Amino acid sequence: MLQFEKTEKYYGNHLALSVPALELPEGLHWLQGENGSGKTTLLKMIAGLHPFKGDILRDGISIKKQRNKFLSAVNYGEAEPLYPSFLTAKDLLELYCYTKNAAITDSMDLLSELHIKDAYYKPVGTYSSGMVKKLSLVLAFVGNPKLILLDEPLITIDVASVDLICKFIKQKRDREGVSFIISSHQSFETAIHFTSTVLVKHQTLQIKEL
Amino acid sequence: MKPIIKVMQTVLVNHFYKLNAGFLAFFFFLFFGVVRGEQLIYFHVSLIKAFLASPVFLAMVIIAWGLYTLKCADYIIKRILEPRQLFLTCINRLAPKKVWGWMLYTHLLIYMPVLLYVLIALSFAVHAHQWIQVIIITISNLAFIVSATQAYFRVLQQQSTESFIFKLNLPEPKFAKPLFAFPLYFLWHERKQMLLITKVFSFLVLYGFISFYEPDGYDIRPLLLIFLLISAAHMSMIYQIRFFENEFLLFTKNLPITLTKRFVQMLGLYLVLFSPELIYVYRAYPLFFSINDYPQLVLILLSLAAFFHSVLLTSDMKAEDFLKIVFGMLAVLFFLIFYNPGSLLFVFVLLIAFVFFYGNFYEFEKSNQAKEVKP
Repeated sequence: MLQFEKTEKYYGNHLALSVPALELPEGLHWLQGENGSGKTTLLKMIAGLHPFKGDILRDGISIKKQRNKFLSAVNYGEAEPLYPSFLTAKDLLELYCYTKNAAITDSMDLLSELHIKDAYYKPVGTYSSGMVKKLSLVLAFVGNPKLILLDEPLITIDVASVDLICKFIKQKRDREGVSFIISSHQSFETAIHFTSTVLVKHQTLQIKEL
Repeated sequence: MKPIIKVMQTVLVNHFYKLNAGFLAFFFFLFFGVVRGEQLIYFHVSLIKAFLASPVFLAMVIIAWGLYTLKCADYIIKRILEPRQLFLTCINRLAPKKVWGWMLYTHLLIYMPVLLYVLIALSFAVHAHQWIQVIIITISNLAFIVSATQAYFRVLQQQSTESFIFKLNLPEPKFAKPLFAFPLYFLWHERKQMLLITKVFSFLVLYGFISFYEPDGYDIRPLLLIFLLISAAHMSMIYQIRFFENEFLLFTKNLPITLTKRFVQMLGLYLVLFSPELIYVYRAYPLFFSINDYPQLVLILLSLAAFFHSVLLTSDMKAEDFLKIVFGMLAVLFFLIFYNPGSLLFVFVLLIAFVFFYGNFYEFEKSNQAKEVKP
């Protein structure tokens, strides 16, 4: 369960997001909202990339007080991932696996299925935007996370990979009980059955169970 | 003021001086702030006469001018190639001779600190009828100015550094890349000229000091001042490392790594970056430093780099404020070193760096992010 306690995000003097008190149960959550409503900001706050006021807790573990413990169980896939061009997929996967205490072999199947295993030793600078996106998704699944945050996971990737990612999300949820918060302007149709939608509107969150 | 002059000054010249203010201010302080007022002119006259009299000294001075030219060229070329400065290509609509002239004008403005000193040295050489020195200094400086201007002209016209004279292809290290070394790879790949120029400068300063300075007795302080100068010379590189972290390593904040470990990794980064100086300085052993004092040399480089890096983690840090802090810190250390405070001074600087790092690492946010969602 994810708990928000007096969470506020300011950009300068502008209040971008305010969640005084909210509990988000485990499950598959579809994060919705207009462009610029603060979806990415919310995900980055939970992922530890953005500073904010207040606190966010996962199963009672505070990101402010027990940051490492919190982040060990929270993975994040960016909408437009940006990695140093000289790093290879191998470099990044080794870094993620080392810090998330995971085995590299566990990620190899997904790399292979997404057809980026051939580029494993090549610098990311030689990848297409779709390949970088696929790599970021593989990295988002590394280890044993309890919560995975995916920001627009379906953009720039091919149709076959979209099906594969949806299948993988379902597997992770059904077999390992991993929760997801997924922001997407695209519809998942019947591929994923969401528990709820989280609407970002008027600088706050509204949950609607499905 | 013509619009082109205004654009060139704002986009290229002013930004260059802002970026290198710490570096230039330190040199200014070293050349004009250390010697007492009444001895200042005598000091500079002696210095100029010394390098005009010694071919080796003159060669070193010309190499130093050449390095400054490379620094200027590296900066201007990178600036022109920035996507945000693409509008500069509109200057290409002018006749090529005019474009060349504007680039010459730009280069002369940023080469001005050297040019003034060159002109003074030339007047001394002419006065003393040292015609060979006059020719060498004139030709070398003309070559520097013309080649730099030609380089800017070509880059502006082609929007590429293809077949550019300063292009370097350094070999790619094949071993595994640990997180702390990512910024080193960035420098190796993306800031080759800067890396090379800074390291050659460091080497020349150390070589000149070890070869020409004759101490009366054992004293660690002159070597510490040389290391302070080397730290100042690395300022632009530290700035670039922070730029790289902000642009490309934000994703690492999602990784469960403790702040202490991140701080130690930063120290590891700077230890590797300064390892050429820390190894080469062994040429100065035992005349200039004892083994007991070696930790001081390591600490001065690490603590200052860590301090400047950590200061740049402050969210609202403007370039001007940063430069004030840099210059203030260098000036304070310059005077404190005269009192021979030992390693404790640098441990204290390291402690301040840690406090800054601890307080700001997760709070840091790029200033342009504030504009993303603003209504």
